[in-house]
Amino acid sequence: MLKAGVHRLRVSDGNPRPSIFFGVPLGKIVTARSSAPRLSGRPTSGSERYELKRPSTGIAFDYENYAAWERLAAGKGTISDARFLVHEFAEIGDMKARNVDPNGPENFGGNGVARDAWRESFNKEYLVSHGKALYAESQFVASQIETIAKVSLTPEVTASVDPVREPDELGYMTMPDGSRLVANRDFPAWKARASEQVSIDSAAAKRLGVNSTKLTLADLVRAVKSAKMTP
Amino acid sequence: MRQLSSADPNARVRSLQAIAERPIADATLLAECERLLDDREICLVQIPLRFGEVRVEAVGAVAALRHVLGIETPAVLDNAFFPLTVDRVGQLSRTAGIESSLSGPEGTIDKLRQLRMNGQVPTLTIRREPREMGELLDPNRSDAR
Repeated sequence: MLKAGVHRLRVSDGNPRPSIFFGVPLGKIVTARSSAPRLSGRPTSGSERYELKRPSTGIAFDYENYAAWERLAAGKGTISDARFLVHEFAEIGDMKARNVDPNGPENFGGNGVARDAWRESFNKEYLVSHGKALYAESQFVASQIETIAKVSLTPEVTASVDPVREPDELGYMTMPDGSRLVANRDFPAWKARASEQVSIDSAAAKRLGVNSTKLTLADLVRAVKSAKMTP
Repeated sequence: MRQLSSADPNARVRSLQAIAERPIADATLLAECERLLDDREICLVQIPLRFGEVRVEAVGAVAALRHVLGIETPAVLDNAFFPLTVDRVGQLSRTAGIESSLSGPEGTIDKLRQLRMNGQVPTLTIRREPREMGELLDPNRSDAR
């Protein structure tokens, strides 16, 4: 069992990402010290504190997450960075709602049977929650697009036209009915909307740092995701 | 021990990870784990999602077991790769022109298998020192020295 705390690995073996690792599970942030974050509004002083608290054998702490958290904590976070928080809260919330322990064997003490049973089912349960959390991310981005650009998009279209997201990741996203997004018969049509032109007002263009008030949906999603959480 | 011989690579990975965390001074167990240093089956090995070969998980288990057995020989794998994210597998696949009719984890595993078969995954030598694993172990929860 690993000692509690944040573990740093030597990277002399070529691992380019020092804060992650196989065989050495690192801490996962699941504890908000105060109220839940208000991601769609201006951060409230004192309400955005999180803690890298305890190791979880279930979920490692990835460098990308760490970098996003650092930027958010420094007031430099983008809407894309905030997706990580939306994702984590959706994922952990879904696991808890389904009585899946997201923290893993730490909670089982010396009970090896319970630990092994947990290990056996966790990956499968995680993938269920992960698929829903990806959808929650798109809901969040869609809500930001509506707030900033006054353009209404469904989470399905937002995800399908997103030029920043790795296409393979879409294969993991599940819709509210539990089906995979990419298996939906409308997916090709949603995806094809990437080149659709929309107009935004000049204030939105300024907020997004774009030179034109006419954008494709793909460019709009890209601009909103890279916009700062607070202007 | 039975899990290490399971036909399910995920079961083998789970066991190896558990052993890396809680090694016991058992030479037979070490021999079983050393056998898996040749296990090149690809599966989901870490959450957030990372996919890789079973043998890379064996490195940590072997080093941890060697530590508690007082063996200081490092566990070494040549031509190996650290577990890859969905994004990375996607990027490598696009560069290599590799596609899959599958999606989700099955699609990622399928693409990674093709990439490896074609020698299109960058590889390196992975070396894990038993002493290093020992530094990460909690002496109250294992046989760590």
